Order: sequence, then structure tokens, then C-alpha cells
Amino acid sequence: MTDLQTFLDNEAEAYADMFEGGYVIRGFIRSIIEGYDGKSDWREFTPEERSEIILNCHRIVELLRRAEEG
Amino acid sequence: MHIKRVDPANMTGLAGQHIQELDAYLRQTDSAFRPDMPQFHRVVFTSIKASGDHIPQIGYVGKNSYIKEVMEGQFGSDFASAIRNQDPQFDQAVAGGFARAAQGDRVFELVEMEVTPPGALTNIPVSYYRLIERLWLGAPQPVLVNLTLPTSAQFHEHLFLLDRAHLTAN
Repeated sequence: MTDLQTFLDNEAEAYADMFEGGYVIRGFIRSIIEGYDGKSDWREFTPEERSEIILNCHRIVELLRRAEEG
Repeated sequence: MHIKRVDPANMTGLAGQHIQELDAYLRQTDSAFRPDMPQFHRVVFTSIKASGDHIPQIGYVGKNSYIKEVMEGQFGSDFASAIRNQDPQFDQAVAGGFARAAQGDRVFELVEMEVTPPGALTNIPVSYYRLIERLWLGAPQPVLVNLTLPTSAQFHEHLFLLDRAHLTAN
């Protein structure tokens, strides 16, 4: 999973199936990644940055899933 | 700790400008998230389920957010618990704003408090502005977006401390 576009596509597809607003997650993840000094390849990110991005994705998905459950 | 409601138009300095910019965007987009949202890397998204007793569950923590700086890298999967454990009084004091925002209020406040940094003998005054509003992120229910920024007074205090640290180091 080194190509940013592939990463976004895969994530967006997965989340779209999980809850109604999953498609919004694509823009959300893109916005997160764009904050890292123009890095566009997964290999360019430090391990800390990768953890930070994944944790943010994980937490927001949990929050939205719970919101959908009501 | 004092929490005062402030009209965003009266929030001064760069912090005030950032909060006004985000508020204008939210009004313009009817509070729907779009990737061009300003201040995205400074905000925090939380759950809409805000009891008023605790800071609600935190979903997203901007890499340049104030709370992330305050927590000094404590970055687990349950950020709200980390804050609660570190400072239960702070958690309780600021929780009310989230509950009001969950009800649909646009919350704009000045928060003033004193903190004792680790190893320090005296308290340091801390003041910051905060915005809390609802944000639609695609799910049937909105989340809350929180932008917290130190006021310019606080910013100058921060610079003073940095200066002093620099002098001590030499």
C-alpha cells in the first residue's frame, strides 16, 4: 500500500460499505494526509506519522459507526 | 477556572481570526464537512453524545491542535480518557460547552485558568478561545468540531517562557 491514490480508493471503498456517510471519509483522509508537507507516498511518512494517521482514521470510523447505531 | 461567552467578532489576534474563519465556513456550508475546511489541522472532532459531565469521545485530533500540544504526545486510541485521567477537573469544567453545542448552540468562549507545569512552583495563567459547533460528516448524526487556540496574551506568555528557557540554557 504505497500509492496514495490506491490507499484512498481502498479506504473509501471499505468505509462506504460500513455506514451511510462512508464516502465523506475519502475527503477526510485526504485532508489529513495533505497536512504532512506534501508527502504523497506512504513510504515517505515516518512510523509516528503513519500511526497518527491510522489512529485518526480508526477513531473517526468508530465515532461514525456509533453515531449510525444511534 | 473562568469560562466566558464571547462574540467571535470580539475575539482578538490571530486566534480570533482563525475562529472567525472557521465559523464563517461552517455557516457557508451549512456545517457540512468538505476537504477544503479551514483550520482542519488545528481542530478536534468529538462525538455528539455529550453529557456535560465529561469531554465526549474524541474521533479526530488535528496534528497541530492545541490539545495535542498540551497532552505532549499522549496519543492513544481513547484520547478523551487520557485527558480525563490527566486532569479530571479540567475535563469537568470544559465539558459543558460540548453539551450545549450538541444541542445546536454555536459555542464561542474564552477559557481562563491557572496551571502548574511539572516541576514549577508557581501557577501560570492560561487563556484560550474555543469554538464548538456541530459538523455533518456524512453519518445520520453530526459530530462536534472544536477549535481551541491560545489567546494572544497566552501566546506572549509562551514566547516569554521560551525566551527565559533560552537564557537559562546559556
